[in-house]
Amino acid sequence: MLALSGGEVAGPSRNTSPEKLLAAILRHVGPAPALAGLVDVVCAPRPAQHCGAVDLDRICDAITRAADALLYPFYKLAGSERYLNEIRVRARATGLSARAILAERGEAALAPAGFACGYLRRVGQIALCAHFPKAYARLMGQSASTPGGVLAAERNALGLDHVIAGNRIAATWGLSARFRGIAWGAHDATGTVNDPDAHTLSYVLELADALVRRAGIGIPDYTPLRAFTPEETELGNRIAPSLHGTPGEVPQRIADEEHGDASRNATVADVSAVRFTATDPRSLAEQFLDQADTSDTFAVCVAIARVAQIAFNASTAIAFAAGADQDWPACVAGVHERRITLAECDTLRAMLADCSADRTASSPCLHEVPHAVLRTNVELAEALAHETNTCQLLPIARQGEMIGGVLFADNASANRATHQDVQLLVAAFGAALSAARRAQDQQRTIDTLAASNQATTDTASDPSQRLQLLAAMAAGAAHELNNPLAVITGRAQMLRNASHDESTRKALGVISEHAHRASEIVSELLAYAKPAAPQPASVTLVRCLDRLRQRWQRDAVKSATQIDVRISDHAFAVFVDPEQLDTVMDAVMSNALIACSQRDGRVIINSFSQPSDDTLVVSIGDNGCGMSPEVLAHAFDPFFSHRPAGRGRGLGLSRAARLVEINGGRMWIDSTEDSGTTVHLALPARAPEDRGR
Amino acid sequence: MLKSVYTTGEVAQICKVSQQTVIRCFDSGRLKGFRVPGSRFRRIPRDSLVTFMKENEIPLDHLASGRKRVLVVDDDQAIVDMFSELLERDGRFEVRTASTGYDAGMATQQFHPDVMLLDFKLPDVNGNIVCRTIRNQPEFEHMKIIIISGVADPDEIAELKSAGADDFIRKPFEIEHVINRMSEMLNLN
Repeated sequence: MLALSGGEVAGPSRNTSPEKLLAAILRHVGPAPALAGLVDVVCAPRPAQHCGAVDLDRICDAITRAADALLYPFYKLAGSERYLNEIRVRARATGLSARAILAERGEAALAPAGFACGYLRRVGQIALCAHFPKAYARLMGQSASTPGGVLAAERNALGLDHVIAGNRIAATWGLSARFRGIAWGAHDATGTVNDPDAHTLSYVLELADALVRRAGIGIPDYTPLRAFTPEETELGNRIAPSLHGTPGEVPQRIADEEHGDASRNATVADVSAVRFTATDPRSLAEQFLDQADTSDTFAVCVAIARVAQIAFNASTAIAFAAGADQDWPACVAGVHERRITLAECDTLRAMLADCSADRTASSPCLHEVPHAVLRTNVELAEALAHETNTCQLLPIARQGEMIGGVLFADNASANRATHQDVQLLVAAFGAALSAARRAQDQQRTIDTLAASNQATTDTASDPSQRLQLLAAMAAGAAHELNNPLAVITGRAQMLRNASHDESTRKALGVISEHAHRASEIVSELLAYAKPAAPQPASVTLVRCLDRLRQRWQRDAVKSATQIDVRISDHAFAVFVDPEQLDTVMDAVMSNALIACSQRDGRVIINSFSQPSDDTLVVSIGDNGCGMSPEVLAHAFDPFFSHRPAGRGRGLGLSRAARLVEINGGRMWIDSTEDSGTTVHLALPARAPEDRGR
Repeated sequence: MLKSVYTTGEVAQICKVSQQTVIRCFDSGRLKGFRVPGSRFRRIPRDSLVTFMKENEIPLDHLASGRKRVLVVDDDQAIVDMFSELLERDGRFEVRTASTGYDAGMATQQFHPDVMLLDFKLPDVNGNIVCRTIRNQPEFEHMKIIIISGVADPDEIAELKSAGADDFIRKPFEIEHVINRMSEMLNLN
């Protein structure tokens, strides 16, 4: 199409008028109500009123998607032309830059408009580049660094500049004059005279473009087109980090989005592989009822969208399930099948409510959806962005309640469905959707129950939570039990004091004593679950064990057991609560002496230090009866005792382990049945602030 | 069982005045009595004390029985009954009872107990609140408070002591221990 000679750029201008060129470009362009709607919202004179609640990222993504869908024919035309991609990268960078500048200037309400104008102001360039790829590449290489060079070169070489092309494309899409004034305002300021926001946007766009150039994004060699004021330079530096990352990021982001699409498509395919082959609505309805998976609302939406697309001969059909939730799951069936979520779509809700009010019981009705509805929802606008026909809403009701709907682009001439067909389909859709909702409600109940069950199990198996529960229970039990026990002991003592019969006095003494014992069990349980906070001090092991050995001696003699303390080094000291250490040692020794009672026993106490981690390990080994693996597994459980009933309460070792733990130590047991047990206590050797020295 | 001779400290407690005031009255001759032979200790015979109280319009109810007033506060009726029976049988005590913190406050105002046996966990407020409320009133400064509770959390005990409790006894208890503690606090023999 183009002839290049002697380095001169030759364009179609020599034999083609601008109008003809424009006609060639506009062949690929039609009305785009959805994009127009989106742009209208963000570029309205009082944008804050419309965009306040909408997430900025989402609206920018929606604009990008809607525009990319519309520009798809151009991309297809140009193949993998390098410049086309660079223009696209630069367009996006300009949009992001405008957005960042507006945010920096405290004009966040204008940020979506800034992005839209920044991104869309390159559509003319994209169209020209797509039509004349080689000539355009050449042009860009030669004139990009001259101020106004690109426009002049375009006009001279191609006979048409991108501003005019862009303006015409935007007008054909149905974008407002105000938007066009702003997007190409740097070149044509008409219509923005009494519009301060438009002025701000025009200035910001021009600055954004210049800063993107300065950052060298989407343009091979950078020459400044203009000088920057100090404020602008500073602003540019502030937003530079986000822009410098842009060249790599933008294609990546687009790739991510495409990947996102692919994964969303995969979701749809995963959910339902059922394809409907019937062509007439009646067989379609039968096939639908036969094959649709009614265990999941989204799967039903997929099936409904696919069936509706065929039945109504629609290029795009969106089936959604309406419910009390804020977000409605929906499936878009069209060129690309994907899952979307209709969030905060109040207008659609209102429309469904109207349908519900209007509806005569037996006649399902189609409602034309005004563009205003599409504009209020980013997902809808995006899904129907490239549709030029009006949209219809087919509400799906079941027993008087609106449970969903199908939105599709109406192709009236090709729509073969009769009123009866529609009725048949709606009935089928309603049956499937309500079955799916029921199934999902059931599943939700099951999940909730399972979750609460799991939570209960977790609480029961989490040691710290279990101890908290135990402490609360023991405290409650102590209060409830000790009152009656106080009455039992008190009354028994009063009777005892009044009695002169020795056997009665003895019996009353036993009653009192045992009531006290019952109370002690509760106290011990409480002490196990909620021990007193340790008051650590440095304890010299030799001295501590000398003192304790005297206490143990009587029991040792009784069980004919020899206690052999092999620690003599006075430097061996531990940093723990002295009283609690006594309790621990007593409990361990008591177990050792009982284990040795049936034989010629020997208990050896030894110690070694672990210098690396400030720990001292004390080992108490006996040659007693030992423990079987089953007993060993429960050795630290409260109230677990393998000794005959009445020989102990089974709290000794568990309480000892707990005390060691709260003193920052560790306790473990080696034991072999019939050959002995060794209890190891790893205790902190120094105060926490002295550790590691 | 009734005492016939009182010390100045005992007179101060009976008349609800300071010991210093009693000494002043004694020395000025308004309160008749004698000094213990061989020492300077002042002693007041019962009849001169009654005369003094009548002259100065001091209510005689504190002197009447000569017994120490005990207020037992517990929401468990079995505990209250047991203490009532035990203390009445002892003969040295006059007993009133209350089952809530509010009742305890009311009874304290009317009965002016010498000692209060107070359960920690009451249906309306906990023992520490009762302690604090009573200690905030100067007229009950000398009243003894013994907390009796089934739960002995060291932190709670410390909190109770700081709230003004004089002692803490854990349930179940030896009844002799409770009586002995009361006797010690009230200087009974």
